[in-house]
This record gives sequence, structure tokens and C-alpha cells, in this order.
Amino acid sequence: MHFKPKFFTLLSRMLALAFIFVLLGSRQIPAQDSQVYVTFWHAMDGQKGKVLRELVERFNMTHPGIIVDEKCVGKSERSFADAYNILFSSILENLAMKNPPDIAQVYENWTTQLIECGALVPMENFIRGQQGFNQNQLNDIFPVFLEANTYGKKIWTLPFNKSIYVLYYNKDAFWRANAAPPKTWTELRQLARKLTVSQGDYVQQYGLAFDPSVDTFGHWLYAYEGNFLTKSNEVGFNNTLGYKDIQYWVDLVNTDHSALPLPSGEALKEFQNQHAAMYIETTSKLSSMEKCNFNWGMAPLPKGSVKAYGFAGTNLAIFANSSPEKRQAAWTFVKWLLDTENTTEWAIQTGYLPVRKSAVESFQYKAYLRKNPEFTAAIDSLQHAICQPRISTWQTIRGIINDALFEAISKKKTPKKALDDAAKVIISQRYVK
Amino acid sequence: MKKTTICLIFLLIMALGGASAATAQSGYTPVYVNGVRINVFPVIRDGVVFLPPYTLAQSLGASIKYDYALNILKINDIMVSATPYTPPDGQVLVPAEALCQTIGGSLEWDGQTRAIRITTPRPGTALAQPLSPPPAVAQAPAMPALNPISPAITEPPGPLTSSSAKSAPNPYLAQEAPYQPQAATYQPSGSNPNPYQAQTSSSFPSPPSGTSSLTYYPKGIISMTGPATTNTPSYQPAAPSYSPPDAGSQAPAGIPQTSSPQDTMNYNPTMPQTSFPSGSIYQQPSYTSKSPTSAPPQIPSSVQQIPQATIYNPPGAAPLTPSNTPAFSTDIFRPVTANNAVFSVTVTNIETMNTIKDYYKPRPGYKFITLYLSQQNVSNEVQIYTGRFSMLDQSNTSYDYAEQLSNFWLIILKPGGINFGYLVFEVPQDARPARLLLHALNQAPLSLNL
Repeated sequence: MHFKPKFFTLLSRMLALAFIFVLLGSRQIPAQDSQVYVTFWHAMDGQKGKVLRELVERFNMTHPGIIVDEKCVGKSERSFADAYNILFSSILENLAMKNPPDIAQVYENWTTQLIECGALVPMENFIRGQQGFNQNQLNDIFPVFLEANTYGKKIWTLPFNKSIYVLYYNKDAFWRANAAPPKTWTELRQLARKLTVSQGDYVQQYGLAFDPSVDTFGHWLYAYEGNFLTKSNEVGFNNTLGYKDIQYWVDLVNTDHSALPLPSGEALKEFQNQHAAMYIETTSKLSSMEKCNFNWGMAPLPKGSVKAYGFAGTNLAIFANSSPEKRQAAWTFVKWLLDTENTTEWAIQTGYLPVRKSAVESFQYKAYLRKNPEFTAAIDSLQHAICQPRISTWQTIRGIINDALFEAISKKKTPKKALDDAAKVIISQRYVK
Repeated sequence: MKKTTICLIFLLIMALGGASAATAQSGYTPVYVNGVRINVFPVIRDGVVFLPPYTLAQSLGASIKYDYALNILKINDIMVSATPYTPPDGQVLVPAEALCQTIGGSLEWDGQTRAIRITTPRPGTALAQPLSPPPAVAQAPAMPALNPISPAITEPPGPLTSSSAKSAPNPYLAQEAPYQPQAATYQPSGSNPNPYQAQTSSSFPSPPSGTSSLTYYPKGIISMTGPATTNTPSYQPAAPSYSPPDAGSQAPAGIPQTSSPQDTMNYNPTMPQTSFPSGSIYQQPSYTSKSPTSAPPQIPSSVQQIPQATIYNPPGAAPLTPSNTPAFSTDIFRPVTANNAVFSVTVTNIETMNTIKDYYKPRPGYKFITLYLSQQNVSNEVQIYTGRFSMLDQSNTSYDYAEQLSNFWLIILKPGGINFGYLVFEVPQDARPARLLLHALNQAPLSLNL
């Protein structure tokens, strides 16, 4: 009977100890009063989400006063769900309830609207503040990105996960055809024909796989100094240049039969299966190229009269609803995430572009480029990057032009009519000024 | 003189308590087209007589189109400068006189009989029908439940009696058999019994509870093709034979001011004849196959195929795709609108499709339904979050839309601001769109009956 009370004492002590460990182990969010809790909403899922999570964890470890709670808001089980749309929807819904996140990924056309309803704090305030950037740090960011984030002479957001359109190509197929990556759009058309290999009716290899989308339309338009909207935000694509542009893609498919128009993901598969020798996409598809069991290369998109390439991806915004402490903490995080070291790591691990020139010059990135020499094409393209329109209705206009391209390529309308109708709808709905 | 009399009508209508097409009681001003009474409820506003477009089009034997987006009204493809009027109930009404005059007709106020008389240049060709419905309630197809959106259009023949009803053989009995196989193709029933068959023609779809704010009438794009310009020419020869023999001899005054439930709808017996071939909006099979629209028996079977092709877009036909244009190509729009204090939502068209952009296919056993819609901020405040749309089918199963296939993107709406686009839903083959819900903040979901 002696051991029994002893045993219980021991057990209770162990339990108490275990309980304390459990308490210590589980980090309560928000934890202590001294810590500032910052929410960060994004749409980065999968591998990219994992990389971002690791970066955020590293920040939290190294910044004891701040806890950044990152959350992938864009996730959904639904088929055909759009991660970024879910993100924007969540932002707006919570903004309407006056409970937005402290930091979020935002597209340029979202920013336009968020600024208008006073939802954001301009990054400029922090950049010029005490903990801000010095002039070198600011100029270090690629000018085209800064420009895209500047509204009314103020920097409102900062670039985060940016990518640029490039031409992926099958080096083996090119070798067989004794071809080099096309320098101009005219060359690309000839090359696509040359690379198309068919046996009877069956096409073994198409020259090109591409998504017949607004972005595709934009590549050619930008290359010939056109744009979707004029400087005064009027419809600028239903003109001679636009007609030539859409005709180019229609000809590739319907005249030359050298290109496969497919949704981007499917076009990628055709490229991976060596069913298409070229593929136009952004650098964000880089990691998918691991699946290619052939030599692939990356080249800048062809040029027209000029070199001009569309870029994509979101920026970071800080919301005005947050308390001053949270805003400052949010800025600390944004500044950290976009510093040379972290933007380099982010770029290397995801295929997004580093947002700083110093990152491209960094030892790590140079090593990365040595390992992936193809990626220099992307960095070179960056000098000629062009931002798409930032008007609030841009997303819908994109869809309308997408549909026009499909209608033209599938011969439901003549290319000219497809574009004219698209312009008509946009104008009639007063979707541009 | 005309102005004064029309003012009188206006007063009369006002005295009746703001009668509108949806709510008018018996005692409304009768309308005669070439001496034949048509069953409509005129709304007179600022001295202008407004009539429901489809009935008017039918009785004039003309096509009336209204493009909501561009605000263009056309009769027989001639532009009319007058603008339609949308009463609070949401049904678009068109200015009758301007339309009649455009095609060389006239509209007069007959003080003696207190009636509006419309004369068309070719009285003989006008297909104005007296209030004689197609016969026999029993055989009348049971389509209303199908499509609660537009009772004004889908209205089956009411239990009215007339000489024509008695004298004419029942055309529908003969029609049912040949149509059946097609109906089966599009209505994979099996576990899901065809609800239309069980329906009786006298039971009208009653508005679901909680949807009082919605209207059953179109707002926005409307279009009606009359026999004279119908785009299915094969129907033309049949049209005259469809007119009851006593069409011209109806004494206007002799028409009783009926007030049966059917009467409060804009029923016009001739209407469906052309509305269905061109109505590519609602793809319910039985809708066509069993409606009184299905033409008289003497129409050759080849003709029956025509509406099928235009309506159902069967596999093999050119696939319909979300189009950017506010659907000029289809001849009939029966948009529905619903409002609350914050938003007004209008569905302007519905399409069913088996592929989208020639590429995207639904899961096996599923299909795509595309809803074209616009959403307006009718409040005085900026609406940051404009809500989320979902669709309910006939058995109240809810569906989210496929964002990547749709083109409807959230934007912050200023007062008066409009967002538009289309939503694509992936639904089981046997699902029919019943309601569209808008879930916005701090308010009950806004519901539109489809």
C-alpha cells in the first residue's frame, strides 16, 4: 500500500508536466499582448503555397513581435473554381463587413477599385516612412513593376508573384527540323508550319500549342505597338492592327493547321507529350516542365516591330482598416518578403520573377541561371514588359476578348466581326470610358 | 382629339388603380387589331399606349425586337425611335402606336366602344385571333410548371369556350405521338418522372413563397416574331389554316370581358406558333413537344424538326457558346428581373450546352447551363461586395457556378453601376434551372424564378 499514493503523485506530476508542455508547445495565435497579429490572404496553393508558408514561418521565427498568419483563401473543391476570384470575393465580402485581411495579394484592376473605396493604405506611406526603403532599395525594384503599382503618382502596392510570357520550345524537335527559336512573329508562323509533322490525316506534331485567350491576342498586339485600350481608356483593339492580330491566330489554326488552340493547361500537356513543339505561357509554368522527358528550352516571345511582352501576377496591398500597429507590422513583413534574399528564394523555388534587380545579380540567382540557362530569356524579357489595363472592369473585358478569339478561331464569326462585336459589347455596357 | 382621348384612357387606367399588364382586372380597355379583339392589357402612360410586345407582334404579324443593351427597338427590322416602357412589375411594354405606324398601320381610340383599335396595312394577313383559345383543356399540354418565368408566354389554352374550339379538331392529340421520341431524348427521365405530364393545364405555376419581389415578366430584351416574318418559313403556309374560321367575324362588343385566371395573362392563341421555333432560350423538351404551339396536324413532319434544331442544340449541331453579344441571334428573350433595395438582377437568356468553347465537357451525366445576366446597384451606396450567385434546380439542389467557364467577375458597384456577363453551371442532365439566388450581405437572398 505504500507505493500507491506515491504512484499517484508521480502520475499527477507527470500529467501536470505534460500539460505544461502542451501549453508551451501549442503556440496560441494571437499569443501575447506584445505580439502583433497580421493576416495575409493569398491564392498560392500547392508547391507555391508551401514555399510561401515556409517563408512566412521564417519571418515569424525571426520577428518575435509579429505573427503573420498566412492563409490560402483561393482553395476550393469545386471544379472550374478560380482561385483568384475566390480570393477577391473573400476580400470584398470581408471588406464590406469591415474586417478585411491586413495584407493580401491583389491584381492591378482590383487595386483600382480598392483605392476608390478607400480600402488601402498606399505603400508609398511606408516606403517613405522611417522603416521604409532608401532610394536604392526603391530603385532596385524593376521599373515596370513599380509603374504598374503606381496610381496617380503614388505607389499603392508592391509587386510579389510576377511572371512574364515566354515561348517554351522542344529542343529535340527543333534540332530535328534544324530550326532556331523564332525571332519574329512572321518567323514563328513559318516555323510552326515547318515543325508540323503529319502522317496522312493524323498530325503527329503541331508547331504550336496556345491558349486562344486575351493574352495571346495581346502578345501580337503589343509587338506591333498596339494595346487593348487607348491612353484615354477607350477600346483600342478593333482596328486594322487588331484585325491583323486576330487573323494571325486564325490563320495558324485554320489555314496552316500548324497550331493547336487549347486551354492553357491542355496546351501544356500537348507540349509535354511532344504533340506540340512550341508552347506560349508565362514563366509560372516553369515547374511543370520537369515532366518533359525531352530537352526543352525557353525563349523570349517573338517580336513584331518592337519587343514587348505582357506580364502577369499579383501585388501586395496593405488594408486601411487595420490598426496603425498592424499596418506597421504588415509593412515590416512586406518589406522583408520583398527584400533581395527572399524575392530571390521565392523566384528560384516558384519560377516567378524576382522583383529586384539585385536579386538577379545575387549569387544564388546567378547559380540558378547557370543551372537553368533558359531562364535568362525571362529576365531579358522583363526589360520589355508591358502591364495590361488596370481599369476595374478589365477582368470582364478579358473574358469578352477571350470569347471573341474563340469565335474567330472556331469560325463562328469572321475575325473582324468577332472583334467588332466584342468592342460593341464593351462600349455598350460602358465598360470603358 | 386623339391626345385628349388618350388622356381619358390614362385617367381611366389610373382610376382602375394603376393597372398594369400583370395585375389588370377585368374591365380593362379592349384592344382590337383589324377588328379582332386581342387579349392584352394596355398600359397608357403619358398618352402613349403600351402593349406587351409578343402579343402585339403576333397580332400585327410582325417581328418586334428590342435590344436591351443598345436600347434599340425594331419592328420588321426597322428601327423605331420610341422607347419601351418597363412598369414596376418588370414586363417590358412597347409603344404600340409608334410600332404600328412604322409598318404603315394606325392606332385609334374608339370612343363609342371605349376601345383601342389598331389597323394594319394588310388586314388579311394579320393573324390577330379572337379570344378563341385552342380547344380542349384536357388535351392542352401542361407546360406552365416548366417555366414559371414566363406565364405570359407559356400560358396554355385556358378553359375558354368558343366556336372555334368546338369546330376545330384537336390538333394536339395527333401531334403528341411523333414528338414523344424527341422529348425522350432530351428528358432522360428514368427515376425522374416527367413533371409536365402530370400537370393539368388549369393549374398555373404559383410564385414560390418568398419571391414576391420578383417579376414574371421580361425586362430588357424582348423580341417576338410574328408569322409574317417568322424565321422558320415552313411555318408560314400553316399559319392561315390555324386561324379559326370565324376570326374576322368576331363582333368586338360581343366578346365577354372574361376574368378567368387565364385571362389575366396575355394569352394569345396564335402566339406560340412562332414563339417556339425561335425560342432558343428554354430547352425543356416537353415544352415544345406538348405545347399547343405544335402547329396544326397538317404540318409535315419535316417541319417539326425545325424547332427542335433551333431550340435544343442537339449533339452534332453547332454548339452554342457563351456569346458576348446580348444574343441578337435568338429571336426571343424573356428576361426576368428581381430587385431588392440594393440590387436589381436581370437574367436575359438561358442556354443549355454540352460543350463550352468546343472543348470543355461536363462530367458524364451532366450538362452546362449558361445564364446571361446583369446586376445593378440600385441603392444609393457603394456596394463593395455584390454577393455570390447560386442556382437551384427543380428539386432545390443548389449549384455554384464554374468560374473559369463563366465570365462574371466581381466588381465594386457604385450607385447605378452595372456588372454583366454570364454564369455557367454544371448540372445533372435532368436538372432544370428553377431559381437563381444572389446571396449578398445583410439581406435575404434575392431570388429570380427562371
